[in-house]
Amino acid sequence: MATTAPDRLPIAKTSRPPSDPTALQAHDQQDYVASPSSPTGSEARPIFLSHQAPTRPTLPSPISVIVDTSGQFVAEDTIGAVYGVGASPQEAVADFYRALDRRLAFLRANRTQLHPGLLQELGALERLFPGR
Amino acid sequence: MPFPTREVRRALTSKHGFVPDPSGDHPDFSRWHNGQVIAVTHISHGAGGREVSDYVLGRMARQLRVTGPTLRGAITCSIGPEAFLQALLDGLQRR
Repeated sequence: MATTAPDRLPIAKTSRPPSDPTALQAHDQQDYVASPSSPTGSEARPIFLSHQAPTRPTLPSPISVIVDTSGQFVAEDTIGAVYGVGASPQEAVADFYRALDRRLAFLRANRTQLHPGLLQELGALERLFPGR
Repeated sequence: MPFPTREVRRALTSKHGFVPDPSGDHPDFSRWHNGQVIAVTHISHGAGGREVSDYVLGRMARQLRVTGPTLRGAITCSIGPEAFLQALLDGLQRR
């Protein structure tokens, strides 16, 4: 199995979620933005954004991390093909990369039998995560 | 409403024809139709693994290219195997 690469996601704070996710709203949103997900997931937003000035230009991360209403962290890519779950942002991102590597391996192993829609997804994932 | 992981797993494999990872090491499931892979998903065990939260179920639905209510209906049996298969096929045309 390939190694994970959690350092690809800029994460400024590392802390466990509060027992009540709604408590996040009391924090200063200048420090970080937190938004508990709705049951449908339609209102979820990335919650951990670095507020440190980047030392060099960086591309937007293809991964976002949110905390859901049950207090667990969920990492997902921008095309909705892969997600990972953890008790911390780092765990969620590590789980994400494990799931990504397994998905890529499965899609590549069955490339000739993929529906064209999944073949497109394979290409999109390889462009989003080159080198994996 | 969260679902027990066992219930989600059983719905995918017993009702809707998903094939679990043959090694049994990973919670990955694929759906084949007419010799083609049409869907792949996984149930993350990252945060304990006993329940699948609403949000995570939504991520699974997005992986499968169906709506959250469609996946929930597939798990609770309000959406049958044929209708769910059609939803999976329709989703492949959209993204």
